[in-house]
Amino acid sequence: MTAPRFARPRTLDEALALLAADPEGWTPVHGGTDLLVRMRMGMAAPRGLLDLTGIPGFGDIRVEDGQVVIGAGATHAALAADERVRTHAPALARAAGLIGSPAIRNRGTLGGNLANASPAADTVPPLFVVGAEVALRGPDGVRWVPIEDFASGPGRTVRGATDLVVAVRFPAQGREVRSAFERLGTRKALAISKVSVAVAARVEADGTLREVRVALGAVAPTVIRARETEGVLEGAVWGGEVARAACDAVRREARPITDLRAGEAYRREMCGVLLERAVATIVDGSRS
Amino acid sequence: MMIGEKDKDRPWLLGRPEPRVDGLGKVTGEARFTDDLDEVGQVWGVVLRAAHPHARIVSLDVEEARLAPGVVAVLTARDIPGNPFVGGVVQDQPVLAGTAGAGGGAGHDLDRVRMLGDGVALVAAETEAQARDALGLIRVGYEPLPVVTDPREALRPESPLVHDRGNLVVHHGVRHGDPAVGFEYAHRVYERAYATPRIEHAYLEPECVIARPVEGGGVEVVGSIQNLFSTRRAVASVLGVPLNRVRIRHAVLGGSFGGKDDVMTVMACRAALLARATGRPVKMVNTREESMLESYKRHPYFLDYRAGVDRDGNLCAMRMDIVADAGAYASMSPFVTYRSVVQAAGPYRCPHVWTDVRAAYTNNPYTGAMRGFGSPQVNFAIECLVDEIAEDQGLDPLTYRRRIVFRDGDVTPTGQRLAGHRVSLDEVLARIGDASGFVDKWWRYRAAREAPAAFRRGIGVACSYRGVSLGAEGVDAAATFVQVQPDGSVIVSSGVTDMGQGAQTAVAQCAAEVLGVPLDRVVFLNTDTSRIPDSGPTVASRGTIMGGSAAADAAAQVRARMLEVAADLLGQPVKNLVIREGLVGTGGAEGSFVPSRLTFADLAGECFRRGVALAALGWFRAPPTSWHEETGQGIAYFTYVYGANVAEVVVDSGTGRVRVEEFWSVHDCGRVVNRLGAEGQVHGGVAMGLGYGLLEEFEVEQGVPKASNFDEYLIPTAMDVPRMHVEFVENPDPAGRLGQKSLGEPTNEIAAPAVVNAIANATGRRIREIPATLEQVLIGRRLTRSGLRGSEVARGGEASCKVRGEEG
Repeated sequence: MTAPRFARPRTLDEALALLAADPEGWTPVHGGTDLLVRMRMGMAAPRGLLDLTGIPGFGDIRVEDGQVVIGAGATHAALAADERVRTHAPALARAAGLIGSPAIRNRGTLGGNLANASPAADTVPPLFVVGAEVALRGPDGVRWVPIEDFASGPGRTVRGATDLVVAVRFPAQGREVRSAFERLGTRKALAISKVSVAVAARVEADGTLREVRVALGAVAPTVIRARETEGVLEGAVWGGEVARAACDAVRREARPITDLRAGEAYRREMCGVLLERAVATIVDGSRS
Repeated sequence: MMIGEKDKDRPWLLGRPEPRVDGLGKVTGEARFTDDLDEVGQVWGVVLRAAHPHARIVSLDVEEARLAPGVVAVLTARDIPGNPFVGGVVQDQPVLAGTAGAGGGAGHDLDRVRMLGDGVALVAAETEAQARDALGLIRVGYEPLPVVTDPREALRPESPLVHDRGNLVVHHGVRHGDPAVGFEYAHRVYERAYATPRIEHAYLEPECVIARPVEGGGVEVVGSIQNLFSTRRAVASVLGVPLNRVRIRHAVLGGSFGGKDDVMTVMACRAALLARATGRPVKMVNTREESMLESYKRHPYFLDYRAGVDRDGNLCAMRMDIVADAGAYASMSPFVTYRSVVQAAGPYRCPHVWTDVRAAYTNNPYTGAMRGFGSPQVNFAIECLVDEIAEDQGLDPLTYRRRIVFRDGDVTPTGQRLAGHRVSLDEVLARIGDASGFVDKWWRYRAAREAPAAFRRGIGVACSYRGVSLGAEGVDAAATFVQVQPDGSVIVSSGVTDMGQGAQTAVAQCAAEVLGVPLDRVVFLNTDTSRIPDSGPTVASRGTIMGGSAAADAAAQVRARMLEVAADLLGQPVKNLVIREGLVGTGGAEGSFVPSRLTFADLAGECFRRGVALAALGWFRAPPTSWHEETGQGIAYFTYVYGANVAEVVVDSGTGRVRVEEFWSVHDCGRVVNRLGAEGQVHGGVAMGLGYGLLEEFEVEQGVPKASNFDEYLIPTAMDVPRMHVEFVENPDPAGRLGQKSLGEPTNEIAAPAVVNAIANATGRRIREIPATLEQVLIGRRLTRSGLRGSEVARGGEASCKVRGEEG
């Protein structure tokens, strides 16, 4: 393997220009926590590495016009610690804090997690339930893609060869709409999720659930919405029969496979268990 | 036992928590591992490995590779001048597999690959990349052969043969009493089947060597090698040169756990062949993927246990049938299974015990030595079984064990009377019971099982006895060389190697204890096979007792000579003199010490000026053992150590996830030489044992491993290790010169059953196959496994518990 060429542009425009001039010749990289491993294993052989770490402000997090906007270069550690993220998308903060290990959280970025398009990516189910959009910037400007349309399969996204993932945004909904994230790994750290579940909902004073969104990770080729489950929960009060019906629905909606990390039946079963815990977190949180 | 002559039972330095002598270098990066070393003019050596787990090699064409850029040499089995086979017990493993006519013999033909890790050709090139590129140019013609992967199938007559002489590697039997008689008066009979996984050592540093050709047809090898003398024997045999032409040393080792034995021997042989062929130094480094593919593992075991209990709850008969998967080569299987057959029934009194342990060849990765060495498997089975019997008897598992464990003078299943040392298991169990609050918790958690709960708490215990050192496996002796310098500093070198376990600190501390100098005056040199006598392998937790006793012997010789001079200088009889903390003085009764103005350093200088020999070779030969092959009776080991573990867990009823919250370890390892080192051994051993119980399995399907790196083969991280409480029960043992025994492996062999028993306490369900993964804990089996593992196929149902008189 010949060593790839390397560029570290100082502005986003410079990065986009390099990419536009030779789309096949550059692979964008930030933390490198996925790409470098794949390169070492011979599963990726980029001709050039376009290092995005030199672009000022690429990882900034800000709130503007009622939206939380997170730069693609924000690390998992930054997301986990950020007060705005913790307020408006607690599920995302929690998921980011559970990824890998401290070293990986300090290097890995939100943009990379999205572009890598693993069905087990922990930041994605939370972004589904907060209704996030991904900003792709190319030669013709920025387009915002709903998170649900972003990944098209394992390792595949709608990002064009001259595009860069530059940001993610979602409504700054405050504590009105709550979100929760649950995952199951083989060990406490450095474990890829066997199953993950994110839930968002608004809980009315009488306990009625509104605007329910449920997303499942690692149980389909991409992260998926569990719309039938959402239907069961929408307008319902959590408990007994509702919980049972929702768990049944989520087990039906999951489409897991058996691999080294878990069996199909176990994954399906766990969707129900994790859903229960995530909803309970939201409902309990609304009471405190 | 020998301490200072004045204060026989009062060591002044042993037992102190001295920081390890190699610690600073390792944290600052000063320590040099083999891969940190390079030789001028070195070439890189790489291995072409088998493309099939079992195949005949019909053609092998290396011509194109020879012409590739940078390539200096390409070797095949035909280029081996001496014996092409290696093996610590049975020489059945080819250094390289080759085509017919390349050699062979003794029923182990050379023209076959038997596992995916086998080597077929070697390439040496100027750079590693060139060497690896050239591998792709070697053409190998294979004729695939049927693969056998289940060791029980391998023992059936219709099985494909992995070696022409048959698939049975070894069969050990113990015949003690007559179980047929014992089962006659059994009130209850328990029949249970257990299975344990193949696991990876997971040492931090992958295998690495540098071999350099030297005059006279020999080589010098430096590497991450655990057992230098075994490696030397093999390299000399493969090159066809005498032992004194082969010099083996080790650099700082990044862990071994029994793992850097055969695999390093093979690598050293290959590097030596390349060094001789090229006339240049050769460096070989395995990638992690190569390491996982090629290195041997811990044996998977299938264990069928049958135990009879009389009306008083005592074990009255045991019958055990155990099959071990040896993989493609014998490696240490004959010795690993020896320990299993000796210890299979656990530390419990039972008059009638018959045990059979067989190891079988398969086309799986070969299996060999790993910390525990045949004990973790049988300890898992017997400790789970005894736990279950206790509960069935209406007793808590700790109280029941205390009723039936060996005490002073009891006889083991090999007919050995436990005497000459304190059989302290009851004391150990009492201590761990008090420390953990076991009995009360066990009943409380058991009662809580009745009510539904999202999280359940459980507590579990396991205990063991373990034979110290090699036992009747073979010769058991070791050397340590102690030199006092004219300024009073000391150099210690030993035939016992340090691979990170702390041998250099422990052995140096033994020498310092006897010489009477502080530990910081001692420098420990790495083992060098040309400068110290063959001391056997550094295995079987024998470093501290064998190397340390030899160090005490050497130090005593030097001290005796120095005290003669001191007596002259101080005008005191030798018998009054004591050296301590680097000062010479007089000692009285009860260990009192009055220093004189004479320092150890001044005394050393004076001895030097007078021409006194300030160096001595210490030698320690283990007390005798014996073994009768037919009956499995004899003094299996010269002494034993005793230990117990308690685990407290929380089980997630929804997911099956087990969190180990707290862990207690109590060990009687004889006299503790270094408290920090000893506690470190326990922490590491328990962490590894938890991986064995909860996480790890090196899965192989049709001879092909499923994991190739630590992204898929998961071991515990620091986050998974519980709060630990470590205690020692110190009964100095006359077998060790300073009262010391063994600790490294005892710490590792009972963590898994302690955790699994704790899960049973929490959930009421007994897991008989480890690892206890989330799926295993929640639904009782692994869904990720394609097809059932042997024990489930063979039995096709639940384990039975027959109650005499209650059967239909």
